[in-house]
Amino acid sequence: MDNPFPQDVTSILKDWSEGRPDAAERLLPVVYAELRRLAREYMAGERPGHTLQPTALVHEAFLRMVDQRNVTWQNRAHFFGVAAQMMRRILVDHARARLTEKRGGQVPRAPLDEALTISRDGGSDRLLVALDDALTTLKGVDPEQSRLVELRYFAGLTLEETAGTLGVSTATVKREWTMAKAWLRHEMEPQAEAR
Amino acid sequence: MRPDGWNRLKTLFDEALARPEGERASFVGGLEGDDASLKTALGSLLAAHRDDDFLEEPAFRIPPPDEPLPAPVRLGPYQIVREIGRGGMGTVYLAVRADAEYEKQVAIKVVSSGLGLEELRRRFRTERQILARLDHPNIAKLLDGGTTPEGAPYVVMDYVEGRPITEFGESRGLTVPGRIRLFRLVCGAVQYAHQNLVVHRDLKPGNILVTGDGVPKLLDFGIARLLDSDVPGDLTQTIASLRLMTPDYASPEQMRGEPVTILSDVYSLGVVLYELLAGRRPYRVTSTAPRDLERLFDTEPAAPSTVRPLSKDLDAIVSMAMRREPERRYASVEQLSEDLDRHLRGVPVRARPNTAGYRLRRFAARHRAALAVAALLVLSLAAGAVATVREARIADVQRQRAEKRFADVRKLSNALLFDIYGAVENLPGAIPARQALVKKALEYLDSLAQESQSDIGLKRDLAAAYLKVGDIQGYPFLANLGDTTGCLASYHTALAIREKLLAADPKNTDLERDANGVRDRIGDVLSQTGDSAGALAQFRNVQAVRQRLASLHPDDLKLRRDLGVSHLKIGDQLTRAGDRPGALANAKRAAEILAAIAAAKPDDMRARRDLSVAHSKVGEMLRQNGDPSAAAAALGLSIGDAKTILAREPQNAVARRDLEISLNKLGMCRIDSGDPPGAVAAFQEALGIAETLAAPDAKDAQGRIDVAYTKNRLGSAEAAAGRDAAALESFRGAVAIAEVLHAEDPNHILAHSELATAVEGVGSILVKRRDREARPTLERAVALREEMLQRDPKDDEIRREVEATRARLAALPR
Repeated sequence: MDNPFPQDVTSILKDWSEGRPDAAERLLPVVYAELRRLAREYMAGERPGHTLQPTALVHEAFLRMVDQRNVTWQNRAHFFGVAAQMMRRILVDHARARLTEKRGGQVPRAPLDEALTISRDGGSDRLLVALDDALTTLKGVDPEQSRLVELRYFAGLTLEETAGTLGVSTATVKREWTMAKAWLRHEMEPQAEAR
Repeated sequence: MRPDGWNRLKTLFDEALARPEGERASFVGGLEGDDASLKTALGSLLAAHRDDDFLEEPAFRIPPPDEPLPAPVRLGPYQIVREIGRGGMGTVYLAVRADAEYEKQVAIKVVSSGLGLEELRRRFRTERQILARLDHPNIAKLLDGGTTPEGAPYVVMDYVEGRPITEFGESRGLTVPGRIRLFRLVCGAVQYAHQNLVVHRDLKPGNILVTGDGVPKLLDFGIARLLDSDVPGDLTQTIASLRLMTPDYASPEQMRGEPVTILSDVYSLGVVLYELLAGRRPYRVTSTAPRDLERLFDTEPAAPSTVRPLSKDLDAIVSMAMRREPERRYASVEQLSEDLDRHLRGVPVRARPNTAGYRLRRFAARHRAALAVAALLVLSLAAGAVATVREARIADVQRQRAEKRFADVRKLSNALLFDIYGAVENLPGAIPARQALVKKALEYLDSLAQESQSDIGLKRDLAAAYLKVGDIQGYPFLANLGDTTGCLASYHTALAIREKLLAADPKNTDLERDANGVRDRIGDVLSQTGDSAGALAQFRNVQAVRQRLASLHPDDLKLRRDLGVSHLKIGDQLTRAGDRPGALANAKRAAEILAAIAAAKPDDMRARRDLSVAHSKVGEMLRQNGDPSAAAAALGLSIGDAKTILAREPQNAVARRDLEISLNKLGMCRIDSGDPPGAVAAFQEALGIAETLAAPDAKDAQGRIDVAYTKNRLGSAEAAAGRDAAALESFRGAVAIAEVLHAEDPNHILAHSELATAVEGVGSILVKRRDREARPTLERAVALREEMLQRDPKDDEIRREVEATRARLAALPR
């Protein structure tokens, strides 16, 4: 199979908008694998150019995996939501693994995850893990706000792109984002200070 | 915190932030009617609020690699000797075939590009066969190819020790006729390739080497095409091919990213000829901005004879090869070569210099607007026509003429929407043009609507046009511009027109049906935007009208199908709203109606699939309502129909997947209703399908996951039925598959969880058999699930499973 994606992912997205409950579950592994593959390709230096932002990775995954003639903005929003969730998982898993390793455990590592975290801005695994925990708590209180943080921080979407994805106004995104940051900072305070 | 408290907190936080920093504390202190814990939370939120870069930089960035990949030592049977070149398309090495009796020197080009490796490899396979056929004394032969351990494709070619043709001409001090004769050999090779349907696409002196014996050899035939992402059929967006080209030799159409033909090679050869004769390039491309390129190609380069003493004939030949418009160049490389031969023989050449008239035409062409702009120009003419219509209508005398023009305007609006729009619909980057077209079309439609007071035919056309505009703006099941608000406005206009028409002619069922169709679309759009109540109201209206029409026309099956679909849509909205009994009633009604249609049209597989889907929905709703036996009956009908379709259309993968899903659902129903043997049968059948679907591509992880999943379900059902040996085999089969998937990708969540389930299943059977391996097996299941918990600590279901298994372990005899 040369390119297993376009029909697959497009039809999964369609299933999703038609309310099939298993769509998200089917989408996760495919998107996950593609994000990893793309990032690996970048890392192998097969693509010339500039520093890669997460949003570029996610957009490219979207362009490559989804038949563009056949999607609606809802499909796109679903896709970006899933991709952001996946990016979070990739990064946090690796941060956790590295922390475990520091404590003397043995952790198998994937070369891609390694590459991603090494260059991550700030470079603190502890911060990432604390953020992940705080986000999980936030999800219990306000799932929409937690999604918004995923899109902004883990998929690197701008305020406008986030607004487009969530189907709300930029002003709303800005307001929610400001509050989410304050809330997360408060929630993470002890860990954040310790880094 | 409770949701209402949280929302209150949000509001207060916004209000506090709107105040100057100094006043916020007193704002919090002065709040009345809010409880103390809320105030505390607000206080800490405000304290944590800072305008810094916290979380403002995305979580990661990937910097460009600092170091190029280390040079390979060996590729396949070839020993790398040294790097001999590096460029946009990759790196070239000199190598020898290590296992040959004699040491044949070859050049190996390891290609790289903006394309994904998979795409590159796919193209490479097809192109290689074509390229391998090129066998010409002046073309470096393609010998072999493969992929490096990193996965990059490489090609192995004859190694040519030589110098670029222009350099060779200068250093040997070749005469003009000598240079032309050398160049004609090159033409012969290119012509040969063209006859074999291969376009070079990157002809330049660096790819035309001349050996010490004076034999020219062309390199890299067709390689540019391998790397060009503009080749049709590619999903990746346009990456301009000129990134791969040397712009100084690229044709104007290549620079614009337009299709490349043999005439592009003619152009590049013209540039090479220019340089070979004049000793310098006709121009240097310093900017690839479209405007700069247009200017560059519009400027006629200095004729070669102004640089060196050369015949005017050669000026004309070079100029003819380098014409900006492909169709005005030599029609083939052969013609170019023949004209050069004529010059050598002293016969008049065919090429003619550019005339003043030609230059003038080119000036006009340069200012020609793009398609979208031209379309808008047509539109502004139409606007004039509308105005004329309005004025003309006043004068009774001119009525007839006016009506004719009126009809023209109508035709034009339709052409805009249906023809021109269709033409630009699939052009990349045409969205602004599409939006402009829709906007303009709406303006004309609106002004036509003003004119149309008594014209019923026009009104019907108008309604259809508004409907079409709405579709383009935002109908979710078609490609659209994502403008839901505009879409709804257009639909409502269409609906208003149709309702008026209907009011004037209330017995006309066609009109009634048309109006109803608009309401159905409005419902679809509302449903997509999450306005479930609004959608429900529309769908109920639609359903009522269809019901009435159907009783008037009992034989109209299309109408009845629409009625069934209406019930399904209502059922979906009711499910969303949490009204399970209502949803079920509608889904059942839909199934009844669709069943009657399928019975009336037993050969219509589309009707049968409608019915199968309806029954599957009914089954799912019944199972959720806790009625597994009725659910099983509905699923049985769904399965039967899916099988009927497959018997007719064995290749129908959609039906096959429908079948697999319904069988799995059926298996779960039977477990629910305490019928393990029945569940075993259903899962076995589902497994057969899953295995068939996974078989064509052994690397298809999704297919293999499905198989592992179904085997696990089957194992549980077999264990429940007391068939321990069979269950053990099923679980072990699932372990084998999931183990591989998990090893391939430890982060594959589904593989991880199926593996845990399968190991647990094996363990549970071993416990029953008092097998000594029971303990380590169950311990592994716990370990696997704990790893999952580490990833998602909040997953209580996994936590419960871990605890259950631990309890089981504790109960095991030591």
